[in-house]
Amino acid sequence: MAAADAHPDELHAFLKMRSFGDAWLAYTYLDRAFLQKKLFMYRVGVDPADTYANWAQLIKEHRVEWERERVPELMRLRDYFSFMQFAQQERVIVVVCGANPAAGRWIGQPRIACYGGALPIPSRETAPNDGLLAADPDDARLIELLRSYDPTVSYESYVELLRAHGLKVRPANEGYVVEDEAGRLLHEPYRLHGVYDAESNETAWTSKQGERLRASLNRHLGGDLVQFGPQDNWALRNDQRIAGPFFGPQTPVLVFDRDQGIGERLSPRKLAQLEPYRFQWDDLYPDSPIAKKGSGT
Amino acid sequence: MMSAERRAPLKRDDQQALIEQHRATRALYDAAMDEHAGQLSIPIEIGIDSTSTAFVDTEAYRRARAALTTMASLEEEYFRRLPRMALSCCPLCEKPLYRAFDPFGVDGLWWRSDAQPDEPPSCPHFCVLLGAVDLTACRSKPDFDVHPGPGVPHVVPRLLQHPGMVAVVSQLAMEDGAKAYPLAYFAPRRPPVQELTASWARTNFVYTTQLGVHAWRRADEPPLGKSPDVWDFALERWLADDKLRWCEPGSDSSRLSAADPASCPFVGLTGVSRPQTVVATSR
Repeated sequence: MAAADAHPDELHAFLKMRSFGDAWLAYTYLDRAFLQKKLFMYRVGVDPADTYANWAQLIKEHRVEWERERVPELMRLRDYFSFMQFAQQERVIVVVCGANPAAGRWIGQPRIACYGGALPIPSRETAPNDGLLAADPDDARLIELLRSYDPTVSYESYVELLRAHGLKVRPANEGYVVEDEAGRLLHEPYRLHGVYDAESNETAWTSKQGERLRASLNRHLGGDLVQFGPQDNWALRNDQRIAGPFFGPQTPVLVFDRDQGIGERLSPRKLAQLEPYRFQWDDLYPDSPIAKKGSGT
Repeated sequence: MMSAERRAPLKRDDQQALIEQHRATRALYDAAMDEHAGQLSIPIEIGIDSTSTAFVDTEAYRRARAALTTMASLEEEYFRRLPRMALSCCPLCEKPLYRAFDPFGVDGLWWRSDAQPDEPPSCPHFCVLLGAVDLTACRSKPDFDVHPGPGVPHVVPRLLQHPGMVAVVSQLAMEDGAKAYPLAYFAPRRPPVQELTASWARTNFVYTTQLGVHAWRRADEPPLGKSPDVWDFALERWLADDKLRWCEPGSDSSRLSAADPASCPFVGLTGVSRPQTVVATSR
Protein backbone atom coordinates (compact mmCIF):
# COMPACT_ATOMS: atom_id res chain seq x y z
CA MET A 1 0.00 0.00 0.00
CA ALA A 2 2.77 2.43 0.94
CA ALA A 3 4.67 1.60 -2.22
CA ALA A 4 1.54 2.67 -4.11
CA ASP A 5 1.55 5.96 -2.12
CA ALA A 6 -1.44 5.17 0.09
CA HIS A 7 -2.14 7.93 2.62
CA PRO A 8 -0.98 7.12 6.20
CA ASP A 9 -4.56 7.24 7.50
CA GLU A 10 -5.50 4.49 5.02
CA LEU A 11 -2.56 2.43 6.27
CA HIS A 12 -3.59 3.03 9.83
CA ALA A 13 -7.20 2.03 9.17
CA PHE A 14 -6.04 -1.13 7.37
CA LEU A 15 -3.77 -2.14 10.23
CA LYS A 16 -6.29 -1.30 12.97
CA MET A 17 -8.78 -3.60 11.30
CA ARG A 18 -6.28 -6.47 11.53
CA SER A 19 -4.80 -5.83 14.98
CA PHE A 20 -7.49 -7.40 17.17
CA GLY A 21 -7.95 -4.13 19.09
CA ASP A 22 -4.27 -3.96 20.06
CA ALA A 23 -3.08 -0.55 18.81
CA TRP A 24 0.54 -1.37 19.59
CA LEU A 25 0.55 -4.15 17.02
CA ALA A 26 -0.13 -1.58 14.31
CA TYR A 27 2.62 0.78 15.56
CA THR A 28 5.12 -2.05 15.89
CA TYR A 29 4.29 -3.19 12.39
CA LEU A 30 4.76 0.32 11.00
CA ASP A 31 8.10 0.72 12.79
CA ARG A 32 9.38 -2.55 11.40
CA ALA A 33 7.99 -2.15 7.91
CA PHE A 34 9.38 1.35 7.45
CA LEU A 35 12.66 0.75 9.28
CA GLN A 36 12.02 3.13 12.18
CA LYS A 37 12.53 2.68 15.90
CA LYS A 38 9.47 3.34 18.03
CA LEU A 39 8.56 6.51 16.15
CA PHE A 40 5.11 5.59 14.92
CA MET A 41 2.51 6.56 17.52
CA TYR A 42 -0.86 8.20 17.72
CA ARG A 43 -1.04 10.95 20.35
CA VAL A 44 -4.37 11.77 21.93
CA GLY A 45 -5.08 15.51 21.72
CA VAL A 46 -2.88 16.05 18.68
CA ASP A 47 -4.54 16.93 15.40
CA PRO A 48 -4.71 13.66 13.41
CA ALA A 49 -3.63 15.57 10.31
CA ASP A 50 -0.34 16.47 12.06
CA THR A 51 0.17 12.87 13.18
CA TYR A 52 -0.35 11.56 9.67
CA ALA A 53 1.91 14.25 8.20
CA ASN A 54 4.61 13.08 10.62
CA TRP A 55 3.99 9.47 9.63
CA ALA A 56 4.27 10.37 5.95
CA GLN A 57 7.73 11.80 6.68
CA LEU A 58 8.75 8.64 8.55
CA ILE A 59 7.56 6.46 5.70
CA LYS A 60 9.42 8.56 3.16
CA GLU A 61 12.66 8.71 5.13
CA HIS A 62 13.88 5.17 4.37
CA ARG A 63 11.81 4.54 1.26
CA VAL A 64 14.76 3.47 -0.88
CA GLU A 65 15.74 0.81 1.68
CA TRP A 66 12.27 -0.57 2.51
CA GLU A 67 11.25 -0.71 -1.11
CA ARG A 68 14.33 -2.80 -1.85
CA GLU A 69 13.83 -5.25 1.01
CA ARG A 70 12.40 -8.64 0.13
CA VAL A 71 9.90 -9.35 2.86
CA PRO A 72 9.60 -13.08 3.52
CA GLU A 73 6.13 -14.57 3.20
CA LEU A 74 4.60 -18.01 3.18
CA MET A 75 2.60 -19.45 0.32
CA ARG A 76 -0.75 -19.43 2.19
CA LEU A 77 -2.14 -17.65 5.23
CA ARG A 78 -3.08 -21.00 6.78
CA ASP A 79 0.57 -22.07 6.63
CA TYR A 80 1.45 -19.48 9.32
CA PHE A 81 -0.84 -21.44 11.64
CA SER A 82 0.75 -24.71 10.59
CA PHE A 83 4.30 -23.54 11.28
CA MET A 84 3.16 -22.04 14.58
CA GLN A 85 1.40 -25.24 15.64
CA PHE A 86 4.45 -27.27 14.67
CA ALA A 87 6.84 -25.02 16.61
CA GLN A 88 4.63 -25.16 19.69
CA GLN A 89 3.96 -28.89 19.56
CA GLU A 90 7.54 -29.93 18.85
CA ARG A 91 9.04 -27.23 21.12
CA VAL A 92 11.30 -25.92 18.41
CA ILE A 93 12.34 -22.71 16.73
CA VAL A 94 11.69 -22.97 12.99
CA VAL A 95 13.50 -20.79 10.49
CA VAL A 96 11.93 -21.00 7.03
CA CYS A 97 12.91 -19.25 3.81
CA GLY A 98 10.45 -16.83 2.28
CA ALA A 99 8.25 -18.31 -0.44
CA ASN A 100 6.08 -17.00 -3.25
CA PRO A 101 2.52 -16.28 -2.02
CA ALA A 102 1.29 -16.65 -5.61
CA ALA A 103 2.06 -20.38 -5.29
CA GLY A 104 -0.56 -20.83 -2.58
CA ARG A 105 -3.48 -21.14 -4.98
CA TRP A 106 -1.82 -24.05 -6.79
CA ILE A 107 -1.25 -26.24 -3.73
CA GLY A 108 -3.27 -29.45 -3.90
CA GLN A 109 -4.76 -28.68 -7.31
CA PRO A 110 -5.16 -31.51 -9.85
CA ARG A 111 -2.21 -31.93 -12.23
CA ILE A 112 -0.03 -29.74 -10.00
CA ALA A 113 2.75 -31.06 -7.75
CA CYS A 114 5.20 -29.70 -5.20
CA TYR A 115 8.70 -29.87 -6.67
CA GLY A 116 10.95 -32.20 -4.73
CA GLY A 117 14.01 -32.19 -6.95
CA ALA A 118 17.43 -30.72 -6.42
CA LEU A 119 17.58 -28.16 -9.21
CA PRO A 120 16.92 -24.51 -8.44
CA ILE A 121 13.97 -23.25 -10.53
CA PRO A 122 12.47 -19.78 -9.94
CA SER A 123 8.83 -19.48 -8.96
CA ARG A 124 7.07 -17.14 -11.41
CA GLU A 125 6.03 -13.84 -9.85
CA THR A 126 4.17 -12.49 -12.87
CA ALA A 127 1.42 -13.76 -15.14
CA PRO A 128 0.95 -16.05 -16.93
CA ASN A 129 0.99 -18.87 -14.41
CA ASP A 130 2.47 -16.88 -11.53
CA GLY A 131 3.28 -19.14 -8.60
CA LEU A 132 4.46 -22.00 -10.80
CA LEU A 133 8.08 -22.92 -11.40
CA ALA A 134 9.35 -21.53 -14.66
CA ALA A 135 12.57 -21.27 -16.63
CA ASP A 136 11.97 -17.92 -18.29
CA PRO A 137 15.20 -16.88 -20.05
CA ASP A 138 14.36 -13.21 -19.42
CA ASP A 139 13.80 -13.66 -15.67
CA ALA A 140 16.56 -11.71 -13.92
CA ARG A 141 16.50 -14.22 -11.05
CA LEU A 142 17.23 -17.10 -13.41
CA ILE A 143 20.04 -15.18 -15.07
CA GLU A 144 21.56 -14.50 -11.64
CA LEU A 145 20.99 -18.13 -10.62
CA LEU A 146 22.92 -19.43 -13.64
CA ARG A 147 25.75 -17.03 -12.86
CA SER A 148 25.99 -18.33 -9.30
CA TYR A 149 27.42 -21.65 -10.48
CA ASP A 150 31.14 -22.10 -10.77
CA PRO A 151 31.63 -22.26 -13.73
CA THR A 152 28.54 -20.35 -14.85
CA VAL A 153 25.83 -22.28 -16.70
CA SER A 154 24.25 -21.22 -20.02
CA TYR A 155 20.46 -21.19 -20.41
CA GLU A 156 20.67 -23.98 -22.99
CA SER A 157 22.72 -26.16 -20.63
CA TYR A 158 20.23 -25.41 -17.85
CA VAL A 159 17.29 -26.56 -19.99
CA GLU A 160 19.29 -29.68 -20.87
CA LEU A 161 19.95 -30.27 -17.16
CA LEU A 162 16.23 -29.96 -16.45
CA ARG A 163 15.55 -32.48 -19.21
CA ALA A 164 18.09 -34.89 -17.73
CA HIS A 165 16.10 -34.67 -14.47
CA GLY A 166 12.86 -35.51 -16.29
CA LEU A 167 11.63 -31.91 -16.53
CA LYS A 168 10.39 -30.06 -19.60
CA VAL A 169 10.08 -26.33 -20.22
CA ARG A 170 6.80 -25.27 -21.83
CA PRO A 171 6.73 -22.51 -24.48
CA ALA A 172 6.82 -18.75 -23.94
CA ASN A 173 3.03 -18.30 -24.24
CA GLU A 174 2.70 -20.52 -21.15
CA GLY A 175 5.30 -18.51 -19.29
CA TYR A 176 8.07 -21.13 -19.69
CA VAL A 177 6.54 -23.17 -16.86
CA VAL A 178 8.22 -26.45 -16.06
CA GLU A 179 6.44 -29.81 -16.07
CA ASP A 180 7.55 -33.15 -14.65
CA GLU A 181 7.60 -36.56 -16.32
CA ALA A 182 3.96 -37.12 -15.41
CA GLY A 183 3.00 -33.85 -17.15
CA ARG A 184 2.30 -32.09 -13.84
CA LEU A 185 3.14 -28.42 -13.43
CA LEU A 186 5.13 -27.60 -10.32
CA HIS A 187 5.09 -25.15 -7.45
CA GLU A 188 7.95 -24.61 -5.03
CA PRO A 189 8.35 -26.46 -1.72
CA TYR A 190 9.08 -24.76 1.60
CA ARG A 191 12.80 -24.54 2.25
CA LEU A 192 13.63 -24.88 5.91
CA HIS A 193 16.68 -22.92 7.02
CA GLY A 194 17.00 -24.35 10.50
CA VAL A 195 15.04 -26.19 13.16
CA TYR A 196 16.32 -25.83 16.73
CA ASP A 197 15.33 -27.15 20.11
CA ALA A 198 13.72 -24.19 21.88
CA GLU A 199 15.37 -25.06 25.22
CA SER A 200 18.91 -25.96 24.22
CA ASN A 201 19.21 -24.08 20.90
CA GLU A 202 20.78 -27.27 19.51
CA THR A 203 19.67 -28.47 16.10
CA ALA A 204 16.58 -30.65 16.28
CA TRP A 205 17.37 -32.22 12.88
CA THR A 206 19.16 -35.31 14.16
CA SER A 207 19.23 -38.76 12.56
CA LYS A 208 16.59 -39.88 15.05
CA GLN A 209 14.30 -36.87 14.81
CA GLY A 210 14.85 -35.19 11.42
CA GLU A 211 12.50 -37.18 9.23
CA ARG A 212 9.96 -37.52 12.03
CA LEU A 213 9.91 -33.71 12.24
CA ARG A 214 9.52 -33.42 8.48
CA ALA A 215 6.57 -35.81 8.55
CA SER A 216 5.05 -33.87 11.44
CA LEU A 217 5.44 -30.52 9.67
CA ASN A 218 3.94 -31.92 6.47
CA ARG A 219 1.01 -33.19 8.51
CA HIS A 220 0.47 -29.70 9.94
CA LEU A 221 0.72 -28.23 6.44
CA GLY A 222 -1.78 -30.76 5.10
CA GLY A 223 0.51 -31.85 2.26
CA ASP A 224 4.10 -32.67 1.38
CA LEU A 225 5.32 -29.09 1.17
CA VAL A 226 8.61 -29.76 2.97
CA GLN A 227 10.65 -32.07 0.80
CA PHE A 228 14.08 -31.78 2.42
CA GLY A 229 15.93 -31.02 5.62
CA PRO A 230 17.09 -27.56 6.70
CA GLN A 231 19.79 -25.57 4.95
CA ASP A 232 21.85 -25.41 8.16
CA ASN A 233 22.22 -29.20 8.16
CA TRP A 234 22.60 -29.78 4.43
CA ALA A 235 25.98 -31.46 4.00
CA LEU A 236 26.68 -29.65 0.71
CA ARG A 237 25.61 -26.11 1.70
CA ASN A 238 29.15 -24.75 1.66
CA ASP A 239 30.20 -26.31 -1.64
CA GLN A 240 29.50 -23.58 -4.19
CA ARG A 241 30.14 -25.89 -7.15
CA ILE A 242 27.27 -28.15 -6.11
CA ALA A 243 25.06 -25.78 -4.14
CA GLY A 244 25.04 -22.98 -6.74
CA PRO A 245 22.39 -20.47 -5.64
CA PHE A 246 21.76 -22.51 -2.49
CA PHE A 247 25.35 -21.87 -1.33
CA GLY A 248 25.55 -20.44 2.19
CA PRO A 249 22.77 -18.71 4.17
CA GLN A 250 19.47 -18.13 2.36
CA THR A 251 17.73 -15.00 3.63
CA PRO A 252 15.14 -13.55 3.94
CA VAL A 253 13.57 -15.93 6.41
CA LEU A 254 10.66 -16.14 8.81
CA VAL A 255 11.27 -17.32 12.36
CA PHE A 256 8.60 -19.14 14.36
CA ASP A 257 9.18 -19.67 18.06
CA ARG A 258 7.30 -22.05 20.32
CA ASP A 259 5.43 -19.21 22.04
CA GLN A 260 3.51 -18.16 18.93
CA GLY A 261 6.00 -15.47 18.01
CA ILE A 262 6.80 -14.76 14.37
CA GLY A 263 9.77 -12.67 13.32
CA GLU A 264 11.78 -12.09 10.21
CA ARG A 265 15.47 -11.91 9.37
CA LEU A 266 16.12 -10.12 6.13
CA SER A 267 19.88 -10.52 5.91
CA PRO A 268 22.54 -13.08 6.93
CA ARG A 269 23.91 -10.52 9.38
CA LYS A 270 20.55 -10.35 11.16
CA LEU A 271 20.11 -14.12 11.01
CA ALA A 272 23.53 -14.63 12.60
CA GLN A 273 22.28 -12.67 15.63
CA LEU A 274 19.39 -15.08 16.23
CA GLU A 275 19.98 -17.10 19.42
CA PRO A 276 20.56 -20.57 17.90
CA TYR A 277 23.07 -19.14 15.42
CA ARG A 278 24.96 -16.75 17.63
CA PHE A 279 27.63 -19.16 18.81
CA GLN A 280 27.87 -21.42 15.79
CA TRP A 281 27.56 -19.17 12.77
CA ASP A 282 31.22 -19.58 11.81
CA ASP A 283 30.89 -23.36 11.95
CA LEU A 284 27.70 -23.36 9.91
CA TYR A 285 28.80 -20.84 7.31
CA PRO A 286 32.59 -20.45 7.36
CA ASP A 287 32.58 -18.79 3.93
CA SER A 288 30.00 -16.21 4.91
CA PRO A 289 31.32 -12.61 4.86
CA ILE A 290 30.03 -12.19 8.40
CA ALA A 291 32.36 -14.84 9.68
CA LYS A 292 35.33 -13.24 7.98
CA LYS A 293 34.67 -9.54 8.54
CA GLY A 294 32.42 -9.50 11.56
CA SER A 295 29.89 -7.50 9.60
CA GLY A 296 28.19 -7.52 6.25
CA THR A 297 24.86 -8.13 4.74
CA MET B 1 -7.91 -49.32 26.75
CA MET B 2 -6.80 -50.21 23.22
CA SER B 3 -8.77 -53.03 21.61
CA ALA B 4 -6.99 -56.24 20.59
CA GLU B 5 -7.72 -55.45 16.92
CA ARG B 6 -5.87 -52.14 17.20
CA ARG B 7 -2.81 -53.88 18.58
CA ALA B 8 -2.62 -56.80 16.14
CA PRO B 9 -0.24 -56.60 13.16
CA LEU B 10 -1.85 -55.06 10.11
CA LYS B 11 -3.47 -57.06 7.37
CA ARG B 12 -4.35 -55.67 3.94
CA ASP B 13 -7.92 -54.80 5.02
CA ASP B 14 -6.68 -52.98 8.13
CA GLN B 15 -4.10 -51.13 6.08
CA GLN B 16 -6.74 -50.05 3.56
CA ALA B 17 -9.12 -48.98 6.33
CA LEU B 18 -6.42 -46.87 8.01
CA ILE B 19 -5.43 -45.27 4.71
CA GLU B 20 -9.04 -44.46 3.92
CA GLN B 21 -9.57 -42.93 7.37
CA HIS B 22 -6.34 -40.96 7.02
CA ARG B 23 -7.39 -39.67 3.61
CA ALA B 24 -10.80 -38.57 4.85
CA THR B 25 -9.34 -36.91 7.95
CA ARG B 26 -6.75 -35.05 5.90
CA ALA B 27 -9.50 -33.76 3.62
CA LEU B 28 -11.40 -32.55 6.71
CA TYR B 29 -8.27 -30.85 8.06
CA ASP B 30 -7.58 -29.16 4.74
CA ALA B 31 -11.09 -27.82 4.40
CA ALA B 32 -11.20 -26.62 8.01
CA MET B 33 -7.81 -24.84 7.78
CA ASP B 34 -8.89 -23.10 4.57
CA GLU B 35 -12.16 -22.08 6.20
CA HIS B 36 -10.40 -20.75 9.32
CA ALA B 37 -7.87 -18.74 7.31
CA GLY B 38 -10.66 -17.47 5.10
CA GLN B 39 -12.44 -15.98 8.11
CA LEU B 40 -9.43 -13.94 9.19
CA SER B 41 -8.88 -11.71 6.15
CA ILE B 42 -5.24 -10.55 6.39
CA PRO B 43 -4.25 -10.29 10.06
CA ILE B 44 -0.93 -8.69 11.00
CA GLU B 45 -0.53 -11.04 13.95
CA ILE B 46 -1.97 -14.47 14.49
CA GLY B 47 -2.33 -16.86 17.38
CA ILE B 48 -3.15 -20.52 17.71
CA ASP B 49 -4.52 -20.63 21.25
CA SER B 50 -5.88 -18.38 23.95
CA THR B 51 -2.44 -17.56 25.39
CA SER B 52 -2.02 -15.21 22.42
CA THR B 53 -3.94 -11.94 22.26
CA ALA B 54 -4.16 -12.42 18.51
CA PHE B 55 -5.99 -15.74 18.79
CA VAL B 56 -9.28 -15.92 16.94
CA ASP B 57 -11.24 -18.97 17.97
CA THR B 58 -13.35 -20.29 15.13
CA GLU B 59 -15.40 -23.43 14.91
CA ALA B 60 -13.44 -24.35 11.79
CA TYR B 61 -10.13 -24.12 13.64
CA ARG B 62 -11.44 -26.40 16.40
CA ARG B 63 -12.39 -28.91 13.72
CA ALA B 64 -8.94 -28.59 12.15
CA ARG B 65 -7.16 -29.21 15.46
CA ALA B 66 -9.30 -32.28 16.13
CA ALA B 67 -8.59 -33.65 12.65
CA LEU B 68 -4.87 -33.06 13.11
CA THR B 69 -4.89 -35.08 16.33
CA THR B 70 -6.79 -37.88 14.60
CA MET B 71 -4.33 -37.94 11.70
CA ALA B 72 -1.39 -38.22 14.10
CA SER B 73 -3.01 -41.09 15.97
CA LEU B 74 -3.88 -42.94 12.73
CA GLU B 75 -0.27 -42.63 11.61
CA GLU B 76 0.94 -43.82 15.01
CA GLU B 77 -1.35 -46.85 14.83
CA TYR B 78 -0.30 -47.66 11.26
CA PHE B 79 3.42 -47.63 12.03
CA ARG B 80 2.99 -49.48 15.33
CA ARG B 81 1.00 -52.28 13.70
CA LEU B 82 3.13 -52.48 10.55
CA PRO B 83 4.60 -56.00 10.13
CA ARG B 84 8.23 -56.45 11.12
CA MET B 85 9.30 -59.06 8.62
CA ALA B 86 12.45 -60.82 7.52
CA LEU B 87 13.56 -58.97 4.40
CA SER B 88 17.09 -60.31 4.15
CA CYS B 89 19.78 -62.33 5.87
CA CYS B 90 23.25 -61.29 6.97
CA PRO B 91 25.94 -63.12 4.98
CA LEU B 92 28.39 -62.69 7.90
CA CYS B 93 26.38 -63.96 10.89
CA GLU B 94 23.39 -65.48 9.06
CA LYS B 95 20.97 -63.57 11.26
CA PRO B 96 17.74 -62.60 9.48
CA LEU B 97 17.23 -58.88 8.96
CA TYR B 98 13.84 -57.86 10.35
CA ARG B 99 12.50 -54.47 9.25
CA ALA B 100 9.20 -52.63 9.41
CA PHE B 101 7.68 -52.97 5.95
CA ASP B 102 4.36 -52.51 4.20
CA PRO B 103 3.93 -55.56 1.94
CA PHE B 104 0.32 -54.73 1.15
CA GLY B 105 0.71 -51.90 -1.32
CA VAL B 106 2.76 -48.82 -2.18
CA ASP B 107 -0.18 -46.72 -1.00
CA GLY B 108 0.80 -47.49 2.62
CA LEU B 109 2.41 -44.73 4.69
CA TRP B 110 5.65 -46.76 4.90
CA TRP B 111 6.19 -45.73 1.30
CA ARG B 112 6.13 -42.01 2.13
CA SER B 113 9.47 -40.30 1.52
CA ASP B 114 9.55 -39.05 5.14
CA ALA B 115 8.49 -42.29 6.90
CA GLN B 116 10.67 -43.29 9.83
CA PRO B 117 9.18 -46.32 11.61
CA ASP B 118 10.68 -47.81 14.76
CA GLU B 119 12.86 -50.71 13.68
CA PRO B 120 13.69 -53.96 15.47
CA PRO B 121 17.38 -54.36 16.35
CA SER B 122 19.58 -55.58 13.51
CA CYS B 123 22.86 -57.49 13.55
CA PRO B 124 25.96 -55.26 13.86
CA HIS B 125 26.84 -55.83 10.22
CA PHE B 126 23.73 -54.29 8.71
CA CYS B 127 24.47 -51.01 6.93
CA VAL B 128 21.54 -49.93 4.79
CA LEU B 129 18.42 -51.29 3.08
CA LEU B 130 17.84 -50.24 -0.52
CA GLY B 131 15.40 -51.75 -2.98
CA ALA B 132 13.62 -51.93 -6.29
CA VAL B 133 9.99 -52.49 -7.19
CA ASP B 134 8.52 -53.93 -10.37
CA LEU B 135 5.36 -51.88 -10.73
CA THR B 136 4.08 -53.55 -13.89
CA ALA B 137 1.07 -55.16 -12.17
CA CYS B 138 0.77 -52.66 -9.30
CA ARG B 139 -2.81 -51.59 -8.52
CA SER B 140 -2.17 -49.10 -5.69
CA LYS B 141 -3.05 -45.43 -6.04
CA PRO B 142 -1.18 -43.60 -3.28
CA ASP B 143 -2.11 -40.18 -1.90
CA PHE B 144 1.53 -39.09 -2.11
CA ASP B 145 4.43 -39.49 -4.53
CA VAL B 146 6.30 -42.75 -3.94
CA HIS B 147 9.97 -43.24 -4.84
CA PRO B 148 10.43 -47.02 -4.86
CA GLY B 149 13.73 -47.09 -6.78
CA PRO B 150 14.14 -48.77 -10.17
CA GLY B 151 12.10 -51.73 -11.37
CA VAL B 152 14.76 -54.44 -11.16
CA PRO B 153 17.52 -55.43 -8.70
CA HIS B 154 20.82 -53.56 -8.91
CA VAL B 155 23.86 -52.76 -6.81
CA VAL B 156 25.56 -49.48 -5.88
CA PRO B 157 29.25 -50.05 -6.70
CA ARG B 158 30.40 -47.24 -4.39
CA LEU B 159 28.93 -49.02 -1.38
CA LEU B 160 30.43 -52.36 -2.43
CA GLN B 161 33.90 -50.76 -2.57
CA HIS B 162 33.89 -50.65 1.22
CA PRO B 163 36.02 -53.52 2.66
CA GLY B 164 33.99 -56.69 3.04
CA MET B 165 30.67 -55.09 2.02
CA VAL B 166 28.19 -57.58 0.58
CA ALA B 167 24.73 -56.92 -0.85
CA VAL B 168 21.88 -59.39 -0.47
CA VAL B 169 18.91 -59.36 -2.81
CA SER B 170 15.56 -60.96 -2.07
CA GLN B 171 12.06 -60.86 -3.50
CA LEU B 172 8.64 -60.27 -2.09
CA ALA B 173 5.27 -60.42 -3.83
CA MET B 174 3.21 -57.47 -2.63
CA GLU B 175 -0.53 -57.77 -2.24
CA ASP B 176 -1.22 -54.92 -4.67
CA GLY B 177 0.45 -56.83 -7.50
CA ALA B 178 3.85 -55.12 -7.27
CA LYS B 179 7.00 -57.18 -6.89
CA ALA B 180 9.47 -55.82 -4.35
CA TYR B 181 13.21 -56.52 -4.31
CA PRO B 182 14.84 -55.62 -0.97
CA LEU B 183 18.60 -55.02 -1.34
CA ALA B 184 20.40 -55.05 2.00
CA TYR B 185 24.06 -54.17 2.53
CA PHE B 186 26.20 -55.81 5.22
CA ALA B 187 29.85 -55.31 6.21
CA PRO B 188 32.16 -56.70 8.90
CA ARG B 189 32.72 -53.08 10.01
CA ARG B 190 30.16 -50.45 9.14
CA PRO B 191 31.68 -47.59 7.13
CA PRO B 192 31.40 -44.06 8.55
CA VAL B 193 27.71 -43.25 8.43
CA GLN B 194 28.19 -40.31 6.05
CA GLU B 195 29.46 -42.80 3.43
CA LEU B 196 26.09 -44.57 3.36
CA THR B 197 22.96 -43.39 1.59
CA ALA B 198 19.20 -42.89 2.05
CA SER B 199 17.17 -46.00 2.76
CA TRP B 200 14.69 -47.54 0.37
CA ALA B 201 11.86 -45.21 -0.68
CA ARG B 202 13.28 -42.26 1.30
CA THR B 203 14.38 -39.04 -0.37
CA ASN B 204 16.51 -37.74 2.49
CA PHE B 205 19.48 -39.33 4.21
CA VAL B 206 19.72 -37.84 7.71
CA TYR B 207 22.73 -38.91 9.75
CA THR B 208 24.86 -38.05 12.75
CA THR B 209 28.60 -38.55 12.39
CA GLN B 210 30.91 -39.92 15.06
CA LEU B 211 31.96 -36.33 15.72
CA GLY B 212 28.36 -35.45 16.48
CA VAL B 213 27.67 -33.49 13.30
CA HIS B 214 24.00 -33.71 12.34
CA ALA B 215 23.57 -33.53 8.58
CA TRP B 216 21.48 -34.70 5.65
CA ARG B 217 21.78 -35.19 1.91
CA ARG B 218 19.26 -35.91 -0.80
CA ALA B 219 19.08 -39.57 -1.80
CA ASP B 220 20.64 -38.73 -5.16
CA GLU B 221 23.50 -36.66 -3.73
CA PRO B 222 26.84 -38.39 -3.14
CA PRO B 223 28.99 -37.80 -0.06
CA LEU B 224 31.08 -34.62 -0.27
CA GLY B 225 33.86 -35.00 -2.82
CA LYS B 226 32.49 -38.20 -4.38
CA SER B 227 30.84 -38.74 -7.77
CA PRO B 228 27.09 -39.35 -7.96
CA ASP B 229 26.09 -42.94 -7.28
CA VAL B 230 25.39 -45.19 -10.25
CA TRP B 231 23.18 -48.27 -10.29
CA ASP B 232 24.72 -51.37 -11.81
CA PHE B 233 22.15 -53.84 -13.14
CA ALA B 234 24.73 -56.29 -14.49
CA LEU B 235 24.84 -58.53 -11.44
CA GLU B 236 27.02 -61.38 -12.73
CA ARG B 237 30.34 -59.73 -11.89
CA TRP B 238 29.24 -58.97 -8.33
CA LEU B 239 27.99 -62.52 -7.84
CA ALA B 240 31.27 -63.92 -9.15
CA ASP B 241 33.21 -61.69 -6.74
CA ASP B 242 31.05 -62.81 -3.77
CA LYS B 243 29.90 -59.21 -3.33
CA LEU B 244 26.28 -60.16 -3.99
CA ARG B 245 24.24 -62.96 -2.40
CA TRP B 246 20.54 -63.72 -2.53
CA CYS B 247 17.59 -65.29 -0.74
CA GLU B 248 15.49 -67.62 -2.87
CA PRO B 249 12.33 -66.00 -4.28
CA GLY B 250 9.27 -67.52 -2.64
CA SER B 251 11.19 -68.19 0.60
CA ASP B 252 10.65 -66.10 3.73
CA SER B 253 13.99 -64.30 3.05
CA SER B 254 15.44 -65.37 6.38
CA ARG B 255 18.10 -67.63 4.83
CA LEU B 256 20.68 -67.13 2.11
CA SER B 257 20.65 -69.34 -0.92
CA ALA B 258 23.51 -71.82 -1.09
CA ALA B 259 23.10 -72.32 -4.82
CA ASP B 260 25.80 -71.65 -7.37
CA PRO B 261 26.08 -67.94 -8.37
CA ALA B 262 25.54 -68.97 -11.97
CA SER B 263 21.99 -69.99 -11.05
CA CYS B 264 21.03 -66.71 -9.35
CA PRO B 265 17.40 -66.04 -10.33
CA PHE B 266 17.90 -62.25 -10.19
CA VAL B 267 20.29 -62.11 -13.14
CA GLY B 268 18.94 -60.87 -16.43
CA LEU B 269 15.62 -59.53 -15.18
CA THR B 270 14.25 -56.86 -17.47
CA GLY B 271 12.47 -53.76 -16.27
CA VAL B 272 12.79 -50.06 -15.53
CA SER B 273 16.42 -49.19 -14.83
CA ARG B 274 15.99 -45.58 -13.70
CA PRO B 275 14.36 -43.99 -10.65
CA GLN B 276 10.58 -44.49 -10.73
CA THR B 277 7.92 -42.28 -9.18
CA VAL B 278 4.43 -43.51 -8.41
CA VAL B 279 2.56 -40.26 -8.80
CA ALA B 280 0.07 -39.21 -6.13
CA THR B 281 -3.52 -39.65 -7.19
CA SER B 282 -5.60 -36.45 -7.19
CA ARG B 283 -8.84 -37.06 -5.31
